[in-house]
Amino acid sequence: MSAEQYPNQPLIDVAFEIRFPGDPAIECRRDEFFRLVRDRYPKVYVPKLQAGDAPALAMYHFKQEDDQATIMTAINKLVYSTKKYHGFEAFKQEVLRIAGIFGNTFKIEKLMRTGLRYVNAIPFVPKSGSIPLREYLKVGFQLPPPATDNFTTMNFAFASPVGNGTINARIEHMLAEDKSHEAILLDFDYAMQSDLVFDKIGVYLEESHSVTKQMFERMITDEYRNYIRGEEI
Amino acid sequence: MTMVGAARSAHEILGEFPAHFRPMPGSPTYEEAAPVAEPLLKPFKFPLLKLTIAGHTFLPAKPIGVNVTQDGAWFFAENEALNVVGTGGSLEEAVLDLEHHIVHFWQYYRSLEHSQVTGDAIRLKNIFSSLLAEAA
Repeated sequence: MSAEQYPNQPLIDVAFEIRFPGDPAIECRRDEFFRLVRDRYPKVYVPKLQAGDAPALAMYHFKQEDDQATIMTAINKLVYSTKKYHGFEAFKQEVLRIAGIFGNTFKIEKLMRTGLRYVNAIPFVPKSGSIPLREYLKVGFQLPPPATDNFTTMNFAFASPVGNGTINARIEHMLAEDKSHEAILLDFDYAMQSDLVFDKIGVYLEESHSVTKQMFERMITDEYRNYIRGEEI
Repeated sequence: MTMVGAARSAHEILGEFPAHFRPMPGSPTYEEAAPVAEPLLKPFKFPLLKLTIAGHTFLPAKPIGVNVTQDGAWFFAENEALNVVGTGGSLEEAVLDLEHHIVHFWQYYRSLEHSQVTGDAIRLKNIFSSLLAEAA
């Protein structure tokens, strides 16, 4: 997770979201926006609604042919999400391109929130039945005896104010979808929420990236950092 | 990873049927049902950052990339550059076996003189000799 692309990076999903005061024009003229992005995002997924859901708040998904990147929109939000991260500069370029098209189609001025999310899955093999957490992350827990931090499973989340926003982090023990191996989920979401304007999305994205990158870099051990950079035997 | 029901009967799992209930005619019990196929592990790679053998801890000079695969009931943990494979009945056993092999060959190649190795062993001696450091 950085401006450079690491050979062994554990990223599984990166998403940038903006929220703004609801504008019914987005629901009425969704087709206009789709026409402008459909060359790269041709697949349309409509939301499945349940009784009580508000259709205008449910997001339409426009996906790439290989399902690796998605644009999501509702009357009060726009999200770009990708599973193939080719570095921050490429990600930012695509976010700004999509936001530019969206901004030209609908007149969005004020933003309520921006959020940049990096979801990492760090595969591991248990040691003596426990998660070797300290081999990968510089986080520790002090527990009263007889409990120890040799966890067989864990789920830890926190939110902390940083700079002009809040970092929401989740460290969790997870199982691969096919249940074949385990991983440590490291999920960072940096949210900014005050005095935001649409024209400064690039600035917010840069700041959000800077915070999440620092969090990631400082949370992983030096040995694991070497590995994701490709320094391995 | 034994699937529940593959070896245990419904009675062992659920206890006796209540007297006023009986299994539906034709409904298979766990013993009669076909064994449930366990999904094979999808190959993945992870780093070995610390090796622990018999209470001794060894730190590699660089992370050791380990490719993990499964064939039937056996798990394999392999590093191609070191030419070592660990095997076991579980993922953890295979990785522990690999750690034993790595420490063994580290000790073995360090005990050899350069004049005693030929062919690929020259390359392996060069890698293994500086591969690990024992943690205090």
